[in-house]
Amino acid sequence: MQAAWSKHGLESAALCSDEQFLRRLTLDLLGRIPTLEERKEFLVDPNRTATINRLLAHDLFTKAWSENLTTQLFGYANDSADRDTLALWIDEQVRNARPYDAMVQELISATGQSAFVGPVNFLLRYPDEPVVKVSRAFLGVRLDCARCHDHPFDRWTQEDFARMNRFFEGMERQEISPGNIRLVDVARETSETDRPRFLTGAEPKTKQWRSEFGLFLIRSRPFARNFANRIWYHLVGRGIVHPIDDVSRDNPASLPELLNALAEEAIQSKFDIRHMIRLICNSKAYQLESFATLGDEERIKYFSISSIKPLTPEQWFDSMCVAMGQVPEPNQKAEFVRTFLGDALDGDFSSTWEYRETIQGLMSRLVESIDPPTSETKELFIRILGREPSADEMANWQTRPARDLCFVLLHSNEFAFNH
Amino acid sequence: MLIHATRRQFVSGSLGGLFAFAMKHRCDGLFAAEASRSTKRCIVLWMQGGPSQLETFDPKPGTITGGPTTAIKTSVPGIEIAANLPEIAKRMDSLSIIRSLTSPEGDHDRGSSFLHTGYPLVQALPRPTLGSIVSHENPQSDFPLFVSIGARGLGPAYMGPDHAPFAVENPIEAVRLINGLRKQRKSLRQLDEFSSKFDQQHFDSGLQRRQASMQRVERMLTTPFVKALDVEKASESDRARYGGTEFGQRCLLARRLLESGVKFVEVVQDGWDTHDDNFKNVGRLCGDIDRPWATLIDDLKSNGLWNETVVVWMGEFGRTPQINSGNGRDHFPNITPVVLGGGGIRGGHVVGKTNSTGLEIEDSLATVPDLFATLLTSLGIDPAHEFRTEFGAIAPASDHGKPIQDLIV
Repeated sequence: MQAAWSKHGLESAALCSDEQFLRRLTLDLLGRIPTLEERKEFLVDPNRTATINRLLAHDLFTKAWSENLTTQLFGYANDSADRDTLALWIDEQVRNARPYDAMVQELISATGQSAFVGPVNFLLRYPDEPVVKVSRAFLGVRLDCARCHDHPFDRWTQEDFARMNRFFEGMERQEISPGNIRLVDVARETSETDRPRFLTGAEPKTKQWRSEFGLFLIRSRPFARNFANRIWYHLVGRGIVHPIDDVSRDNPASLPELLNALAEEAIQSKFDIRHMIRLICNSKAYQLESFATLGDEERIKYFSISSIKPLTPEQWFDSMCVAMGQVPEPNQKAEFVRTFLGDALDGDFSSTWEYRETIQGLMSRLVESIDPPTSETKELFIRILGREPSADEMANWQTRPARDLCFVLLHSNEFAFNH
Repeated sequence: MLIHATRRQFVSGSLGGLFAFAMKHRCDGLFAAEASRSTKRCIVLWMQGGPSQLETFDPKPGTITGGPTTAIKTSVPGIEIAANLPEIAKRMDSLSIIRSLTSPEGDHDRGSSFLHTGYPLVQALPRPTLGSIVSHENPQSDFPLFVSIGARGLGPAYMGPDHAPFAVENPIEAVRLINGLRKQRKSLRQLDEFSSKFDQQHFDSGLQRRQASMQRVERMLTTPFVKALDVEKASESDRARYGGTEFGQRCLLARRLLESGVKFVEVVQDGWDTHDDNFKNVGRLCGDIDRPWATLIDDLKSNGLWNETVVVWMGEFGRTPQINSGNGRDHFPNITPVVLGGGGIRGGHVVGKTNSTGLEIEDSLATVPDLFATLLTSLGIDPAHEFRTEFGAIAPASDHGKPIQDLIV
């Protein structure tokens, strides 16, 4: 990366401070800000590598990453399939360190009832033209354009789209009872010129179209690149190909060598999610300062400066609970996510780091009452922002009500972003 | 006159805001193209559940499929509608009926999505609802340009969260929200002051969006929008003219919002899924909407907004001509009734014709994309206009629909 930065004439930012690193890493790996105790412990022995390993083994890592995967794959709309059953299944896969390629193979080929078989709910969520979502989520390729016309800048044609989609045309939904749908495959007749065909030209040899599609998919190079790019994006805040699901000729990777190396690493490590995260979090690019101004776009593009990421509604909620010392009630989190996103629940949520709060969501949150967990100015800063107040801030806030300070800190951009 | 002044104030206010934003981010000119765009207003009266065409705008009295519903004459010679809507009948010269609209979508969610976006539902490719398109095609304002009354509304898809509907499920809650924010004004100023250091040190499009949202919340509190929202403050006579029903009060709120500068309002009336006891239920539902809808037309005419506002009445689909064993009617997307008027739409006209059994369309077949092309055209948006999705894919405003020329003045 140093070579790439020199080549583009960019200077890399300084490494971020320890407390900044801890907040960034804890949000990325556990989905919430660090607790007071975690912060204290880390500052006594600020060993970054050891902390990365410790958080990767934490129970909350599984929760945060499976939540995030579920949202990317499924979104929030819950009308056509069973989100909870899928989430439960993904949680189990992440907990057991199931290789990502095996997981995807199962998402593509699973059959059974939506109320019990978690992975069928992925395809049930996209009953029409599932290949649009599949190719975007797992190849980073957008076939959307090719469904209407041959892509002007790319090699995908309408026929490519139709043939890719054909792999899924044997799928049939059978309603067993309200809310429980069985996904099965039925044989479909095809002519020689009309058979399913993968983007690489491969055609199925058996009647197990979806299973064969899954194998074509996970053995392809774009799949490994997409996997590496997704994890990079999630941690660093910007894809090496960016946006992550728009791999095309007119949107090349900013650092192709880096992307290839990471894809190779993914294949060698057998698509081990934790291994990739460990690798990236230990890199210099992950640990840089995020101070930037207008004109720093090139530095952000080539990762010589850290990007900032808006907290997802889930991260926000869990962080707020940590900061305020609250134990959430059941459903409170789901309600918070709903308020935050307003009415945009039927949208696509495959790009995690878009700022998605609606104006109505923001308004609703600004009027919520706040109970300060302490009246100490310094402690409030540490609890909520993970840092001590500056001398100015101390002088400014010491005499003002804790409730006002709490409001300001919790709604501040410093809290709202992972930086 | 009053409205005129308010509107001018609104325009200058919002341009000033944009200018300040552009200056702050040293990108003057960024919004130049956006600021010059503008559309007409639109109000959609959404009949949740799928309204029966036979008990409203295409009655078949004296036939088996027509059931007990009778027809009445309207203010336009030759046009008859169901006796359930006497006040609307008197104003038929202002409205036009499409009797030949067909849709393939007989499921509530799919039908609702189709009639809100003009595109068949593909879950992996969400499309913006018409209100989000209208919001997007107007200069940004300090208050939401798209309001949904009585339901949460559909999402903005690639138009982004700034064009999501502002949902007023309950007007009293909305007013409570505004009053709550008024009390927080001092805190909001402190927040702004506190964030400035972080804001100066970071540069990110998401951060800019959040900053802009915060500023909008603060500025919204002094706009005519929040006054209009407080429907409890409407005059007694206004409230009485719209009737005591929930739908009536929603229509009154919609009128106030349109007057305050909101560009798109959807008013939802639930209960039209009349699988059971269709005739009694539709009779009651028509009773609920007849007067408020008529009053809305009268008011838009007297306040000068009629030619500026497209009025649409529709739902997910129509209902079966065959009457089921529960004396109800089931889903029938083959014929989906739509009524429209105002804003450059011809009044007193009927598009298309169904046969005597109400099962078949006999002429002027129209599709949902055609309806959307018509609405977009009358609102001042080119149906062929190509938007870009967040990833740069091309997305035409209408799914290859052709405007129904008979309806456009």
